[in-house]
Amino acid sequence: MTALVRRLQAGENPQLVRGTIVLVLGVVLIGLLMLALGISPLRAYGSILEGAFGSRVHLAETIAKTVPIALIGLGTALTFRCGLWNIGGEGQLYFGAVAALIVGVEYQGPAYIVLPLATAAGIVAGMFAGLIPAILRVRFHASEILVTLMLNFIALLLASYMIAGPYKDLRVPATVPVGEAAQLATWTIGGLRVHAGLIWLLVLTAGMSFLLTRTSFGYRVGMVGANEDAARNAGIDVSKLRVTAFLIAGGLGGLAGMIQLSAVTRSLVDGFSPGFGYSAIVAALLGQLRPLPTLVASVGLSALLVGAQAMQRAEGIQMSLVDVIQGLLLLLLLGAGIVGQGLIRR
Amino acid sequence: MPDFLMESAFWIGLFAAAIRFSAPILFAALGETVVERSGVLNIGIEGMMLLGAWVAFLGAFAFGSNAIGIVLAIVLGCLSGLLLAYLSVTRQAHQIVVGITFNLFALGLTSFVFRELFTGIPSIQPFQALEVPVLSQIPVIGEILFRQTPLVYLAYAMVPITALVLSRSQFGLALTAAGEMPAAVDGSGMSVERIRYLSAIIAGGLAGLGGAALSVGQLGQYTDNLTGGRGFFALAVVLLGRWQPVKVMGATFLFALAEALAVRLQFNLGIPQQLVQMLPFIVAIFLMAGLFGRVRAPSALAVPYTRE
Repeated sequence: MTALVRRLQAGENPQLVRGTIVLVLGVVLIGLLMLALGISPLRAYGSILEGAFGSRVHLAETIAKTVPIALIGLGTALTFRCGLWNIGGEGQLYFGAVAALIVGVEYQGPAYIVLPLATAAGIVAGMFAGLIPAILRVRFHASEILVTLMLNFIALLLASYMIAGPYKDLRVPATVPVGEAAQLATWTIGGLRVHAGLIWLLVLTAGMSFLLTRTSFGYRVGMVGANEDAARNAGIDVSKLRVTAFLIAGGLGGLAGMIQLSAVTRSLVDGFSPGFGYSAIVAALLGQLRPLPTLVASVGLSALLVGAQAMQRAEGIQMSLVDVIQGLLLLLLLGAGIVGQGLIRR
Repeated sequence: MPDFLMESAFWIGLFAAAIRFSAPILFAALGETVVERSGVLNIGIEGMMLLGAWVAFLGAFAFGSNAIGIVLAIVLGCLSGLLLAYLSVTRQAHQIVVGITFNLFALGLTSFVFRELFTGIPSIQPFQALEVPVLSQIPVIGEILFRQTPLVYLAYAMVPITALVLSRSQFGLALTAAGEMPAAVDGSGMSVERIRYLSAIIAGGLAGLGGAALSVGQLGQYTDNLTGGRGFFALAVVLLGRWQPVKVMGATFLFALAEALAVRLQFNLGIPQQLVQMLPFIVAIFLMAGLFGRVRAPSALAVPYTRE
């Protein structure tokens, strides 16, 4: 703790300090705007914080929502590092969820068969969703920004179709739930309800960190990101690397979708994802594309999501206000040159 | 062969709808063509269209005049373009990040304010079709092309205007140069920043107009996230149209055709709504696979200019 403070004082991480100052100023500024609109900033901010951290139940909810955001964020950061603008996390999540749903509903059997099967299905579906933009980029020089965006919409429509069509549950706007065998375990630790997806997250964060810093793959990723032409001249198969990165990101997204389905919602519901994929992009950027900071940022973004819902319930203020706050803060950070600097230039 | 495909009314209706649907995207795409040619990538076009659609509806509803709504949309769009220029050109922030962020912000803002003001689904009277005398009486062609609303005519009229401005005018040439060789532009004494600021403001205004064309010109309604990805289609058609207005128009029409076809397939063949709505997006992906060969973007696209 003292070491951190000393480093801050020594100005060792100016970005962090400047960023914090901008955030604080931003929060104050937005608070003033809220006053002008007749909303009490204290009640708004207060209910957000309370909703995210106020009790064990709230904290558990925040942790639960961190899982998909961070998982997708890890993959997104990886692809960004290769100079790939993969904004398909949302779609990869949905594809994974749909695949896991089908397996979970159709297959009867013991958990030790169905669960791995559903997990594999989710990961593979996500990988497939990552493969498409990868191949189109590598073979046809198609803009992966646009392809992943289009796939997001397709994925959303596919999920809607599932809910309205073949797997429709007549009682609620959702699909039928997956069988018990396909549901991930939840435990209560220290009074907090957590689910098995959290283990996935912690393991994969460590794994990604290892991948990036200690493997030749991670080294090559860094080289491609810094200078694509130089990397190619040095003999690196840039295309293969990019496809691999996209597959990993897709797999992570699909896994996130499967976990969210299997551990949290149990069925595919309307509004299954409140924009996890897009929050993940923000988390990756705030985390400077590094695994652990991305995880930390994901907690913050999850807190905003959870807090927003709580704010609406408790104070009757619309959830979308938080999107506005988040957007404004980000734009401020961008203007101050804190986020989005030093990233690979296309 | 399903019956409905034999009816000429089906095909006439299809193409007329395609022309109608294409107008919003065309406005935004023309603006995007301009700004990308100058070297700035505006991913935030979706947010700008959405803001335009939203404020146009609010204005039309509040003042009882569609025209006021449209003006407001253009103004708000220009302001958005100004913001884009400030962040991308002056602050030199990463343009893709700027765009993604702006879209998130615009979605939140429009949702929030709209739902504060309305609970149900309010509506206004959209523009009525304005039949061009004589021309609209031509069988088939007349029905398709000349029975559209004024905004549609404007959108298509803007295509040759944009093309001429880009290729023949001083401003257009300077703009293209700024996107290809900004150093040369700088060396000749012109300001790369100023050119990019102007093009961004134009693009914002056109994006806003495109949104207005959707909410006020076509639908007469506003709902949450009305544009639903149309701004991204505009990005795609600029790419597919190789940054040339006429080709961009062609690509836009193709998408609008896919959209119009999707609606009719659902209605006539009973294909589930969600599956059929995927059609334009799937078409987009196939087209992006470069059926037309390799794409060469403006050299300085998305690269902020700094004097060496």
